[in-house]
Parts: sequence; structure tokens; C-alpha cells
Amino acid sequence: MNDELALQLIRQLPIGACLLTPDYRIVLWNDFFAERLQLPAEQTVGQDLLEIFPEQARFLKRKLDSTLILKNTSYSYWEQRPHIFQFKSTRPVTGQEELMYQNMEIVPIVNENGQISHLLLAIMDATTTACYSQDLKHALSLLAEEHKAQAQLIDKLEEAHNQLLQAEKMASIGQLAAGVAHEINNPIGFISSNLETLQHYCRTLVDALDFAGDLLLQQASAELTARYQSYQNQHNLNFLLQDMPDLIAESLEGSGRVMSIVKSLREFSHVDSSEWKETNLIDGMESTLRIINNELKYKATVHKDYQQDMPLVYCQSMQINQVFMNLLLNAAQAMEQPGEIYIRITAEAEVARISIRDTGTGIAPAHLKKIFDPFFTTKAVGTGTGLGLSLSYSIVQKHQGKLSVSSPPGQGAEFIITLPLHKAPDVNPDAP
Amino acid sequence: MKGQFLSDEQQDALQEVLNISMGQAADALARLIQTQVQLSIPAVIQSSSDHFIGLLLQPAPHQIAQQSFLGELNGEMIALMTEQGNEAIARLMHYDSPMVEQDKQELQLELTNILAGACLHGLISQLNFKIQLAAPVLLNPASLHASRLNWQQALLMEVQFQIPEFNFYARILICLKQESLWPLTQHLNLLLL
Repeated sequence: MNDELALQLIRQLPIGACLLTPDYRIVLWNDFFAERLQLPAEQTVGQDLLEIFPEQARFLKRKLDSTLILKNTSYSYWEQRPHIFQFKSTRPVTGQEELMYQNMEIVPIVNENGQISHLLLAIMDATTTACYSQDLKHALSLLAEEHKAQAQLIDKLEEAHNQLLQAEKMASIGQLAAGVAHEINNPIGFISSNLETLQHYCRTLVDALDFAGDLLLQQASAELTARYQSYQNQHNLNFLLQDMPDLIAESLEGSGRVMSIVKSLREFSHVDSSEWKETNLIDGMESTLRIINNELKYKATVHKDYQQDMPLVYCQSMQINQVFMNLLLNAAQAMEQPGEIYIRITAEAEVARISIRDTGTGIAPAHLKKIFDPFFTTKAVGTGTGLGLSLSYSIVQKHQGKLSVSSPPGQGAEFIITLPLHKAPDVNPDAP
Repeated sequence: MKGQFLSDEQQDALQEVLNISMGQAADALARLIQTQVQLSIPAVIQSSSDHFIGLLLQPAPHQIAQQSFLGELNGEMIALMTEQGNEAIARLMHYDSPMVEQDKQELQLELTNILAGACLHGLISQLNFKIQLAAPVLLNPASLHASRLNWQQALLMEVQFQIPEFNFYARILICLKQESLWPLTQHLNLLLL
């Protein structure tokens, strides 16, 4: 093969070929370089490569020097360094990429003395491979994301299943409570009324005995008086007469408490009743507080601030009570040590405003956005349903109201419910 | 073919060749980064595919790269190296600092090319082989399974480099399948004449 043919072959090679002296001067610049960079060989041959490409000079020098020192081919890969030279993409029509992805090899040319006489810098077009590989990577990452989302969904489903079971259990407990409350209501009714009668009888009886004692004294019959006295002493009659009214009064109070608990339970177990009526929110709050008194009394002191002459609110009272209960229980559970719960019920213009504020641990800023999401809970597994707040939110929303929360760091949390006082014209009470 | 791949004489000759070529490799690296490099005595190991995979899957925090050579001798080189010390070496080699992921990969490939290339260069020049190197590539060890390799026995030539100053540690394996050993034994025999 003659020299001219060899030169033509090199010029027309389908790869970029550039021959350099060890001091980076260009000896050969083939058509691939010249045409794609719009830099004819006349302008480059004899020049310093690093001066023509100052942006890549540092990188190229490193690669060229390593080849010179080690007398070994040096490589660069599109994955790590995609665009060494600003070659236009080889796919101007179908491709989305602007620039050609390139692999580079710098090959030492060694003369007979074993010295490096020249360096061959070869550029290969890797655009197709690169784009294919990137598409593949993209597809893989999409797949991985989908997979992750699916796994999360499965988790949620399982959680939801557990919650449903729990909810069902709670519902049946509620029904049971309502049934028991109903059954207790009758006997406690007649116990209470009998006790009242008994109290009346007792008073009469005590008066009668007092009257009899007085009569005996007036008769001044020493023997009769002595016998009555001894009978009195023997049977501790004085103490008995003194204690009996107290016992009856205490029993009456006790039965009164049982009746009020039963009443609250009955009111409360009607959570599913969607009866819309004019409601006194303060009564609802009080009834709720009675129900959960046991949960609250050791954890928090409740401070109430109710507005005088609070107007009635048109709502589903049982559902609103449920919201109160959820918020109050959450507040109590947020207490690491006994704290305070402040309840405020006020009316402003057209809305009622109920604020429940606690001095508990507060809500982390990261959680604030999520607390109304179904199944979001920070309580230990099996303790919280993660449904309380989301249920409350949907109940308040159904009332065209608002449930909002604020939790300044270190100051506990405050939940504010606002409810329209009157039936909004577009509310459909039967809507689910 | 069971038993020893190399006769005692061949083994000695190869060991000698390796000693010289590895020394040259360490020297090349030391010149490039202007820092002292220590190296172990090269070892010649006959390895099963299971043992080979075991070497690559060691729990130590290793990065793995591979470089093929072909021509009169066909095989692959594996470079296992720590990520520790990479930043320091990168500075010596005039990389931008701090390095992004791509820079780290580039450095790792560069080091593989330098170390493996230098090791092989000495070996083939002494044994008078003509071979060509392919570009080094990063290897994901999770994609390797002994059962999927198409060989049972191979000859591994191993050398370890250390740069104590940076806690950098690299292990180079030159791997030849049993079936590709013939040219090596032939050339070793020429040395022994």
C-alpha cells in the first residue's frame, strides 16, 4: 500500500483520529475531526491541541501525560465523560441529544528505540449505545419506583384491613354498650325513685322516734325512761338515726351518677345517627367529657371557657361529639406528664368556634401536613388506629366547617373547629 | 486437565517474570503520582470458579473494575480497590476536587488502567507476547455467579499495591482460563531453554 493510499485511509476513517507529538502538537487531523468541528486541518496541524481546546486542556493533558509516562493506552468512557469534543450529535433528526457521546483512546506510538514518538488520539461515536443505555436505566428506575409504590400500597392495604377489623370491633363494643346502657336504665330508674321515697320515709321515721322520746321524758316515768334508754344504748340507736339519712343521700348521689353515665353512653352510642338538629355544643362537650373522664382525670386538668348564651348550632350532634372525643383523647395521649387542656367554645358572627389546646408534646413540623391522612399515626403499632383525626376532619368538612391545627415548637398543640351556626343553603344533610 | 497447570520450573520462571513486571508497575504508578508505592510479592494461584467469585465478593468495601486483553494471550484483569485514599490520589493526578460520582468512576477506571496495564505490560514484554488491551469497565459483583461462568479452573496472578500515606489498597488479578494457558507455557518454556 502506498503512502498516499494510507493517508487517504486515515483521513476517511469513520473514527476521529488525531496524531500528536509528545509536546501535544497536532501532526494529523482527519476528516472526522475537521468536518464535525468545522475546523479544517490547515488550521490545526502544527498547533498545540491543548491551546485549541482550553476547556478540556486539563483533562486531555492528564490523559496524554499518563500515556507518555506509562507507555500504555489511556481510555475515556462516555459514561464518565460524555462530550470531550463538541461534536454535533450523529442523530440530528431522530435523536434527542444535542452532542455526540464519545469514547476516547490515546495510544502511544513507539519507535524502534522504544521511545514514544507520537500519540494517537482516537474518538469513537458511542451515541447509540449511550442513549440505549440511558433509556434502559430510565426504564429500570421507573420500574423500581413502581415496584416501591406497589409495595407501599400493599402495606397500606394490609393496614386498612387491620383498621377495618378494629373499627368493626369498636362498633360492636359500641352496640354492646348501648344495649347494656338500655338494660341498666330501667332498674337504675326504680332504684333511684325508691331511694327518694325511702329518704322521705326515713325522715318521717326519725321524727316519729324523736317525738316518742320527748313524750317519755314528759311522762317522768323513771322506769320507762330507763328501759327506753337502755334499748337505745343497746342498739346504738342515736348513731343509726344520725347515719341513716347520710347513707340514703350518698346512695341517691351514686345512682344519680350511674344514670348520667348511662345517659351519656346512650347519647354517645348513636354515633351513626345522622340526625341534624339545633344543638347546644356545650352540652355535647360536657357529655363527652363525662364519657372520657377516666381517660383524662389522671393525665390533665381540664379548663373550660364557655361563652354565655352560646347560640345553638345546626349539626349532627353525635358526630360532633365524636370529633370532640377524638381531639380530647389525642390531647391526653400527648401528655408525657400531667398537663393542662384548655377548652374554649365561642360564637363569632356566623360561626361557632371550638378550640382544644393542650400542653403536651406537640406535633413535629414534618407530621403537621400528614396528621389528617387516613392511617397516619405516631402511636405505637396497635395503639392508634390512625383514623381518629381523618374521621374528625371528614365529619367537620361534611358540616361545611373547618378543622385546623397549629403546634408551635414546645407549646403543645391547638385544634380549632369552626362550624357554621346555621344550615348552609347547599348542605344536603343526607349526603354521605 | 487436573493437577498442576505449570511445572515447578515453569512456576519459578513465571514468578520471576512477575516479580520484575510488578516492580515496573509500582514504579510507573509512583512516578505518575510522585508518591511511594508498596507492593506484595506476586502470587500465582490455581483457582476454581467458586474460589474466584469468592475473591470478588469479599465484604471489604471494594470497588471492582475489569479490563480485557486479547491477542496471543487472552484473558482478563480484575482490579479491586478501596475507595479510601481516592481523594488524595485524585489531587495528585490533577482531578477537580471535590469529586462527583462520575469523577470517582473515571479515577477508578484510570487507576485500573494504570495498575493493570503496567502489570501486564511488564509480563508480556518479558515473555514477548503481542496483545491488545480493551478499555477498562466497572464490574458489578452482584451480577457474577459461579454457575454461569463457562470455566472451572483458572490461573490467577495476584499482586497487591498499597499507598500507606493515603490508606489506599489495590489488588490486581491477572486471570487466564485453563484453556488459554497453552501460549503462556510455551513462552515460559522458551525462557527455560
